[in-house]
Amino acid sequence: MPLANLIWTALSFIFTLLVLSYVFLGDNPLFRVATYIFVGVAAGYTFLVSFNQVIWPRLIFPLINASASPLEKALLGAPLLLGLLLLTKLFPRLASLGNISMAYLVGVGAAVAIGGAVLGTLFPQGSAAVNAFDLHASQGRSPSLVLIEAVVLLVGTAATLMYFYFGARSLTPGQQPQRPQVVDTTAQIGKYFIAITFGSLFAGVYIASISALVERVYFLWNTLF
Amino acid sequence: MCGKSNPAELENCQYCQARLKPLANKSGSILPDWLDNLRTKKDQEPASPPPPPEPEVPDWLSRVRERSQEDKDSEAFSQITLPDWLVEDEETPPPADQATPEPAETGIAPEATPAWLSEFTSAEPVEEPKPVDQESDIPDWLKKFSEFGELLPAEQGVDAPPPAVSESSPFTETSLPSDLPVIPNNNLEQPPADQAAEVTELPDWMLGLAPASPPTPGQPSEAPAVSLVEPSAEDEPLASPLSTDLPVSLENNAPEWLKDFQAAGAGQPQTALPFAGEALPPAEINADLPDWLGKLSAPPSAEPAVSPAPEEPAPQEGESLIPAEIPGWVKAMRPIETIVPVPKVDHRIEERGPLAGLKDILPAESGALEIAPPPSFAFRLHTTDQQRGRQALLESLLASEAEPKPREKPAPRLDNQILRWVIAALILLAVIVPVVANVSILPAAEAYPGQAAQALAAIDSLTQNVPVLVSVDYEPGLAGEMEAAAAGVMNDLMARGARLTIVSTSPTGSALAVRLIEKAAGNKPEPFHTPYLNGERVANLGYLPGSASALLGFAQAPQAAAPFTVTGQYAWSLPVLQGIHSLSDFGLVLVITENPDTGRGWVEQVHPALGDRPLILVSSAQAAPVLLPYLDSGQIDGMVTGVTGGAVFEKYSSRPGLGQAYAGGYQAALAVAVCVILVGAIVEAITLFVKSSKAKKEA
Repeated sequence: MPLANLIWTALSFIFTLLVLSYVFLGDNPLFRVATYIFVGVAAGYTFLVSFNQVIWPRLIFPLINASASPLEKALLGAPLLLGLLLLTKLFPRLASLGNISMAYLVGVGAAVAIGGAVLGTLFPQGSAAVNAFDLHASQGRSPSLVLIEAVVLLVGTAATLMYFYFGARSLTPGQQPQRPQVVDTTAQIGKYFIAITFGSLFAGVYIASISALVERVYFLWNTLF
Repeated sequence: MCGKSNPAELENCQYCQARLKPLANKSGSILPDWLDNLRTKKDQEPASPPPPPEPEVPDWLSRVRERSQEDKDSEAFSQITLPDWLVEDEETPPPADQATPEPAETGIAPEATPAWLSEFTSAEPVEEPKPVDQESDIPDWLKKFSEFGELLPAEQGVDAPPPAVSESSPFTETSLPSDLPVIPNNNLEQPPADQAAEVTELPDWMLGLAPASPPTPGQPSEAPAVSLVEPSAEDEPLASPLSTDLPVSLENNAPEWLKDFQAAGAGQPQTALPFAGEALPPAEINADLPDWLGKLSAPPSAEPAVSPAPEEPAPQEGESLIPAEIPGWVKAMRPIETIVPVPKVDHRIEERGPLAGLKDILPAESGALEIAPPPSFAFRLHTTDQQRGRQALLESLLASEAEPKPREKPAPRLDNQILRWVIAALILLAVIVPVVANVSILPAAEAYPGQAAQALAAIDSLTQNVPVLVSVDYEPGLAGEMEAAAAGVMNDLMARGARLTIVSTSPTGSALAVRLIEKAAGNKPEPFHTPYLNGERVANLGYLPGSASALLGFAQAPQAAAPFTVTGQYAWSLPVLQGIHSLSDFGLVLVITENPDTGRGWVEQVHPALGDRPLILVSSAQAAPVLLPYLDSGQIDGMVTGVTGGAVFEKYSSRPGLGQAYAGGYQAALAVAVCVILVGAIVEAITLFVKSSKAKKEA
């Protein structure tokens, strides 16, 4: 095994043990050392990748490169200026100058997100929800099962949305405002769907952790033996 | 006062509000009421001769006579030599042609007049005083007066040297410069001509008191008559107290001593008051003179301009006169200056400026011109002990807000600690045993079979040497699960000779992609793994900054969005990306992510640009519920979920990999977790049931 690989392997082994010490020892200095080093290494690696793969080859090098056309250099003026203005956010007195760059980023991001959500999620998903009741497109599956799934899907979607409806009114003067009975009943059903969803999300987190544990144990075993 | 004209009916000036019409009493006369009443009574009385007044000798005169008789034998009295004029006047009877003025001329009712005044106005001759002995009967004050008369500059002559000046005189300072003009004292106000005419209309007895003619220039002017009331036509002009001209009425009934005095001074020019005209020698005042005479001879600077006589002059030692009680009506006639205390005059001597050495002048440099720094005031807030205590309390409250609250760590419970260790041990045991023994306790799960089958079908549709775009967008912390899920897919693509183009919206994606290829190759790589391990069939485009915006830009113009590789080479000229100009030129797009948002972004932004090219997602078990609708909607063509999905895909592809290696421990750990949760739920349910039963029984 090459020396570099040996070193990296040894460090990985040590840090794995340090992190696993939290299981039996709780929040201890060994665990904190491992987490602090991880945070620092991740931040440094992120900066290096950003500078080496984005800033230098796409901004600085074209500006200083003599072979680059003046038009390319002129077009790079806008991102350079916006980047410098964004750096003013570090200084409270000059923070207002960075609002221009932030406005551009937020505006472009919001536009992209809204367009993608509408065209990529809202319409296709709505169409899919309607097509769920298409028994002819079951693709070999039992139509009843498809229908049940569709109904469950519809009820669950409606009930979940109804749970988040908080509009209330008083039917008679002096009565405490409350939701309509139909809405309240549907919201109770939606509450169970939401609970099941939260359970699945928790299970997913646990599964991811178990997967990481399995991978680390497999690594330790392979490293030792 | 302002001199402007006003209508006649106005009482006050409309400009300066000064009174236009003098104050008048009820009868409209400007005289005081008492004098006006006397006049009216006199007018109302029939013209009958007034009753003879009672002969009343003033007290002071009677006392003088008594004392004079007592002092007949005194040596001091015998040594006094009287002047000739005084001796002759004593022997000269009063002229008979002097008649007493009629009471009607005086205008004063006989009942209201004092004795000494009525003596002047009565028709009967006043009882002539006894002839005064030359040596014994002459009172001391009169002797002093005679001696004083010798001191008058008129008697001494014009060439007489001026007497010595007292120190108190302000005009005798030796430090006075010589070039100062000498301001004569004869600039006093002179009664106007109309007043002089009015003077002639006054009664006879008052006329004698006033100067006979208005003063002429060049002559020493007389002091103005100090009239307490405006003289009327019927009143006699007031004369100076030292005037030797007696009024006509007084001359007729004046005692002999007074007449003698008049005769002695008849030949003398009318001199003004000692304090009028030239500066009188103020210094040597004979100590034997009476007080009232001495004050009259004092220099005018020593007293104010109109200095009233004291109400009761203090009798000096040896003075035979007894201060008399001043009647009330005389007091009423007193000038205001006698009532109002005269302000003390600062007789300081100026020391600076051009007026240095002068006295009684306004200060040349007032204290206001002195520039001095403003006084500094100690600003100290006076507080009580209670206020200070409250202040300290408030400060402590504010300081405690800034300080972080100490976090009290709860004491670790031993039962919880033990339970935690037990669970950890069970899970570790469940993971280690399958890995070490390389056995699977539970049968392989068939979770998500349709999803894995669809993914496999999409990959199987690819031809050899097809360009595949692989997006490695998962975090290093979840690399164990993601590698187990994606290793089988990568292995299958590498087995099909696909040209892999790596891209990532995460900075760590490029490094994780290399690790994924190594993991997919396994510990024993195949020959087809070699080009991928050395990078010949892999083009790593690196990091795409901007998340959804970067995906949209990459989807629209991939060469502009990612022109270079991680090594700095121009990627689109490499053999791996040969013939690729857009995303639709790729045969397959594989997105490996554990984040549902990243997966959604690829689906929303990139899938529209793919056309009919398949899009496969490799996600974690955590993101699968969120991304599965996209599979159901047909927006993605396959999905591999977590370790189980990877294991199933490896099973379907017949290429074992990490998925199957991790599946044993993964399932065992899940089983232990499920068992722990079930046991815990059962125990909790039993506990609640028991508690509720006990509560019901107790209730």
